[in-house]
Amino acid sequence: MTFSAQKLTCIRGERVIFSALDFNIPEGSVLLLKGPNGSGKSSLLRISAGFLKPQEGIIAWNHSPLDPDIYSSKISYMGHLDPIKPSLTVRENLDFWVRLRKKNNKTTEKIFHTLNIENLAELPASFLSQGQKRRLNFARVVAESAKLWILDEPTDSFDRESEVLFTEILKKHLSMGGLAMIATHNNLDISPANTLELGNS
Amino acid sequence: MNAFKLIVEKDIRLALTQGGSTMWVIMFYLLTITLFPLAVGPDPEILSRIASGVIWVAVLLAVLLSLDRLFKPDFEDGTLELLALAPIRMELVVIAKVLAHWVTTGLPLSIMAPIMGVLLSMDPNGYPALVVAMMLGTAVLSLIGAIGAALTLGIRRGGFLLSLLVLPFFVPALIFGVMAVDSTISGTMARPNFMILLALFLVSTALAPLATSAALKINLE
Repeated sequence: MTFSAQKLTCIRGERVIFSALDFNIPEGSVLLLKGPNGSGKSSLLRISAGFLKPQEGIIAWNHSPLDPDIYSSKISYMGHLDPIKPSLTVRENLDFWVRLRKKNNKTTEKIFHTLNIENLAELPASFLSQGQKRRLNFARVVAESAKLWILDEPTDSFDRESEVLFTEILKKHLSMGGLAMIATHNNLDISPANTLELGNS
Repeated sequence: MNAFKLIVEKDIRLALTQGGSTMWVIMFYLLTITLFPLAVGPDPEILSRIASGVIWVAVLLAVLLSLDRLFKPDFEDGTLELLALAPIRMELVVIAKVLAHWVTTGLPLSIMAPIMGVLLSMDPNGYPALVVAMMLGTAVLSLIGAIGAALTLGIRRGGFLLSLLVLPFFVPALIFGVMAVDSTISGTMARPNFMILLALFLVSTALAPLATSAALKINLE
């Protein structure tokens, strides 16, 4: 299982964001995207998640161009936004996404436990802080148990403790043969990690 | 089908809970209708003649008011992009959301229409026709409105543009909706009007989800 791209070019608003970009993520490893604001980290992630079509280049899953229908079940995407409805409880919010992916309710319970948010479960999501919302969104990614995680600044507004928890869960995901693609400014304690520097071309 | 049901259920719940759109739409509907006797005068003869038209226009405006909220909350909090990745076709997501929208706006407005009829001293013989025509008509409004809502999603203050965009396309449903009711009351041929309403419904059911999901995908880029 590998996820790779060859000669990707992204043009937004007539500006070339990046061109001729290659990467390769083998099984059980993570690709960290680094670079200043506007260097195309999010665009690359959105291309990888299939929202955006690259101007040129191909994205491949196991060296064969991917089929969008099968592909979407293999990835979990976490963008800048947290898809949380304030009038539903934390449990209901998570349950919706879990059941949408045909995972059973036991998953929700387990995730609450692993992410240490059991005490928030019955709270309306409107009471959550920014960091807690972010954690709930990450809980969704974990619950979807997809092969490839595409995360855009996941540890944004995490406290120290959650960051440690995040790295732990990510390591577990990788050790089970998962793949991950993460844009981040923080120095995450993960190895082996390949880093892709954007914006110096 | 499981995913479809989940989306419908969630949207209906969100519309009915605090801050959801259903209550506001119904309030708007009631207030608009009660303005007419005040403006036109209490003469039952005049009121009963304009009743079906007034109710239809009020419903149309109420639906228009709610359309801005059809996709926008999901777009703004990232729900929509995740639905695009979910194991369900975007067209089905659109149908699910439109169905939930109709159940929480068009349906209650249609059921309440006879009450509005009483306020405007409408001929009671027209009530069943009014409810049926309105159920079909509001479904058409939700479907066509969804295209406009999806197209104007990324635009700030898209609400005005949305109204300008979809109102002309609401006109056929309005004309035949009013005619269906009036012809039933006057005892002339009502059937053709209902058939045309049904045709409008079927055509928009077939085409609107395709157009809407295409527009949504552009906005997700």
